[in-house]
Amino acid sequence: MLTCREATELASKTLDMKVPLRQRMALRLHLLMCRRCRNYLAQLYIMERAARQLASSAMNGTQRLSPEARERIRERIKKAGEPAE
Amino acid sequence: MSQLSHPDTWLDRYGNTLYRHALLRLNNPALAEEMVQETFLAALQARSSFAGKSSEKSWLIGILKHKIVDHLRKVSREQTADYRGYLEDLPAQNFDELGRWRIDISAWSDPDRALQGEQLRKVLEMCLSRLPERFYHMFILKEIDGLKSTEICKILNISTTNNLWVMLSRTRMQLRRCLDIHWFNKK
Repeated sequence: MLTCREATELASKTLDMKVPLRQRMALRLHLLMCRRCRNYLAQLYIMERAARQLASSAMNGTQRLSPEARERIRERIKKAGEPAE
Repeated sequence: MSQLSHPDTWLDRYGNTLYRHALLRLNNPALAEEMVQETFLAALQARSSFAGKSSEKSWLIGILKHKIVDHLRKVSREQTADYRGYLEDLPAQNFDELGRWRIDISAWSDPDRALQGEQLRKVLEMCLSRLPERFYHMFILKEIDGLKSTEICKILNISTTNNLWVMLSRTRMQLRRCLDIHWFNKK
């Protein structure tokens, strides 16, 4: 019988790899009887989905290069591009 | 076949896009700026090999991705401090000697609605930014870039995939607690 500590680690592992059938069954059995671990796994799924959204929300975000960085980069590109022109 | 636009226009067109991409992956504005610059310089050099198979933007993002992974590889190689100590006592805080929960884990209600809003993501970003660098990178490479466990181990110099899974498990436990406190309990 899995402990909650083992069950949470195994639950996390199911997000990262194909967990062998025996272990999956053991986890399922534990979850049937354990409300906290059921909630825990559900929360891992929610975090996983939220994390995936971060990529697109970051691309539509408002962060911008600072004016100083922009100027610095512009100079470097210009300099590097000169001999090739 | 698409053609490259003049390099002088790259910064205005793609600077912020590349910056946001790098910032999410590195969580460090100065370093993200540096990666953007490196990307443009590498792109200048590689201009002639642009095959036009992808758009200019995805070509530049591809270069940036390489630059970021190179950087992570480099700092991970130099890393002598061991990661294992961090978050090590987290399970002991959450579980008793018999491996039973010490704390209650109550359900987060209505996840679909939460995922449509912005609040959950904002708090997740805040919680992520509190992680040590190494754990931050690990989580991003896994959950956002979707890299394979073996690839992540190589980049971050983690000896076994099993170590990676244990670290990821602790990271998620830590993030869950942070979200529980700063998001769920404040709703």
